Amino acid sequence: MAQQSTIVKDPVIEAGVFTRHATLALSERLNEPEWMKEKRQVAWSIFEEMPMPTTSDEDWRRTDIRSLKWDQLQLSVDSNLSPVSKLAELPEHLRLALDEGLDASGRLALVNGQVVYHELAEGLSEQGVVFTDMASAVHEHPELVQQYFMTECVAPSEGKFPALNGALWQGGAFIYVPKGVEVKGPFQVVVALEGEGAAIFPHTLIIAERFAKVTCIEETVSSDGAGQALNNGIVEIVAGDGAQVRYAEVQRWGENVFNFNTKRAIHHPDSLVVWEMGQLGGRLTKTYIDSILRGNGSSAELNGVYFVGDKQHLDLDTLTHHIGLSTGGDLLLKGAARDSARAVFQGMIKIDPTGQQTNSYLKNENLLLSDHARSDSIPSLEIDANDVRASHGATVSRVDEEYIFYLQSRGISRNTAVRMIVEGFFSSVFDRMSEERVREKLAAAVSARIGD
Amino acid sequence: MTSTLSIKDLRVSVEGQLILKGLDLEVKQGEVHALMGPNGSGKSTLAYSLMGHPKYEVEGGEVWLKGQNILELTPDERARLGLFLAFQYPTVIPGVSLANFLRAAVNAIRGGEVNGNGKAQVGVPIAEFRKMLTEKMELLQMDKSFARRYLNDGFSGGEKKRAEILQMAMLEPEIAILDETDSGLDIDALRIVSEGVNALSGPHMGILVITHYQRILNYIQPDFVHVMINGRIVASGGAELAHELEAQGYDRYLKQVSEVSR
Ligand SMILES: Nc1ncnc2c1ncn2[C@@H]1O[C@H](COP(=O)(O)OP(=O)(O)OP(=O)(O)O)[C@@H](O)[C@H]1O
Ligand SMILES: [Mg+2]
Repeated sequence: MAQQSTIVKDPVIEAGVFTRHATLALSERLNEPEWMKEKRQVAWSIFEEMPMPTTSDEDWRRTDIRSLKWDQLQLSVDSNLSPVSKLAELPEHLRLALDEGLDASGRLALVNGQVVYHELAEGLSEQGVVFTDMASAVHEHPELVQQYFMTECVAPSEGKFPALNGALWQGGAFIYVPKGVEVKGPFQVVVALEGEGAAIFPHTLIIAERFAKVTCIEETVSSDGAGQALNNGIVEIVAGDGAQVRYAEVQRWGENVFNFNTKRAIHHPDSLVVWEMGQLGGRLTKTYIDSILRGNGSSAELNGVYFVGDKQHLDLDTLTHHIGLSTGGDLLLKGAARDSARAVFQGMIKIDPTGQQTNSYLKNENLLLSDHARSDSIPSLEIDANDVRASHGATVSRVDEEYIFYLQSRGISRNTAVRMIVEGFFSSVFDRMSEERVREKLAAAVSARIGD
Repeated sequence: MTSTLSIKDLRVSVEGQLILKGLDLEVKQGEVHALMGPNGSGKSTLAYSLMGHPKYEVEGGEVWLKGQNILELTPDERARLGLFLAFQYPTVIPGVSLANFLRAAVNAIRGGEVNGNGKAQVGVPIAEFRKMLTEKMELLQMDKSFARRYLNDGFSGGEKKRAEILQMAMLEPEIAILDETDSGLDIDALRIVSEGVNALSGPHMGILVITHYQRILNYIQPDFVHVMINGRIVASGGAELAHELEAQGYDRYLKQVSEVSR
């Protein structure tokens, strides 16, 4: 294919909202050590040099981001909510997102990148467990952040959005679990976006040492302003030998949020990372979820649902990269689209020559609930080893009229029948979800979206 | 008052082809009718048409039940009026458990649909529902574990048929059509299911048994037997007619029909 020769102006730099000056000011404001300041500057330089993705990039072929108005955004550094010391003092929507009333090992509420609430269950610090926000971690655990922050997991050079996050990150959780420590209850994080034109760049880093076990549940919410808003996030997970990490995400952005994410786990030998997610909100989403199975015997699992309506556009991109010997992948994603929404799923299973005895599965099923909804499912395999088992499947279908008739023949109305069938469609994913609170939340959210 | 399902000159086509060519039949509450006929004669087409399957195009005729021409009603309205069909080939619905499905159905039939979050607003209280389900499953000698399984998913042929009768037992229809419920059942299962049907039947239920074999009629004894050939009922009689068909086949009726049409 011929290279495009015209020089495309960078919309972000043109807009002049996000600048090198802004990144310096952030470092200043957060009183950052030199090394973090340096990381930001490097990331900014990379950002400046990279082109904005367009629909001529293979990954972005089905997702056009030109409707995002960069000049109407602002780097939100303030929250109109002052920090509180008791969960009960948080506004209701944040308390709900944090599952007030249920046991948790810790809770963290971030509004526009600022910490408004933080708690950590007793006894965990004594065991060396760290659960805090990223900015605090820079000061309190500089050696860990320096070692892991955008080093071996996600690099700024990977893309425009990761680079921008590296330069402008604020907020996000930092979790460190030392060798052999098993954190029982989940850490719960809510990331909130508030105000028109707000832009946030959360960066979460989870480090689980050898045989450590931890669960993190993150929920995203936003107050619905009329103007556009931006979330550009990164999640980095490093799973040590035999470690088990569960990371769940309940994505409930409002209808004007443009949502870009790179989420990646690096697997050491025999580690397990389970991704559980529900993608429900957002105007436009482009999220990468990558499992880098470097360590022998490591495995990745993903149980995901999505439900889009109105004019929502959701583009999910998974990579299961088998590098080590005898690694496993098992990804199941089911989604529904209604109104004139569009869902795109691109899933890649990549097996290196070193990845013998890989077992990798990828399944994506889609249900279209209206004539104008659209769904594209593009799974692919790239296999360079000969002793492997890998399979993928993708379907896009409508609610089966035979199912509806069968339920109707038992007295159930058409509307209820459709609801039951759609709920039933998702149930095989919910059945696989281990965190009951996540499952219940997602099931309720899905049910709520089927109706009306 | 006794309800009567009354079919008058029913004509139905499937994919442009006329299958039912003017069919008349009356089934009253409390009566047992058997409908027999060669493969492809239109028995299942009749069953589907009565239930309102969208693929079956009604070209003419009327079907009355409780003062309503049910051809104007949606399938769920027909079911709520007291009509039930045990399917020849029940549909598999992944993700919907038999118990949840039955609860929704029972509530729908008793006048309280299940709302959005799966909780019944009106209808049968959950404890009562569970008790009833356990009772009916015991009657049909079904293992409790079926309640949690997805509807017909991975059920054997015979298990599906049993599950159909379980649904009938839970919904207590006034008129039930059993489309080849006997096929696919082993000898013991046939007895259990038939005895189950008999236990449920009585003056409040009219039954139309569609079958190819006398053996189910040994258990569920018909008051009337009808022979269907080529989209019409060509002969009706008492229980003895089924024995005659078992012995002699449909030859005689097929000849009659071809003579008529010549
Ligand atoms: N959904 C359909 N699509 C196409 N043709 C159909 C459909 N349903 C019925 N037919 C046709 O209508 C005719 C009658 O079929 P029907 O299933 O009613 O017969 P039946 O009497 O129930 O037969 P059997 O004893 O084999 O169950 C057949 O020729 C069949 O092929
Ligand atoms: Mg048939």
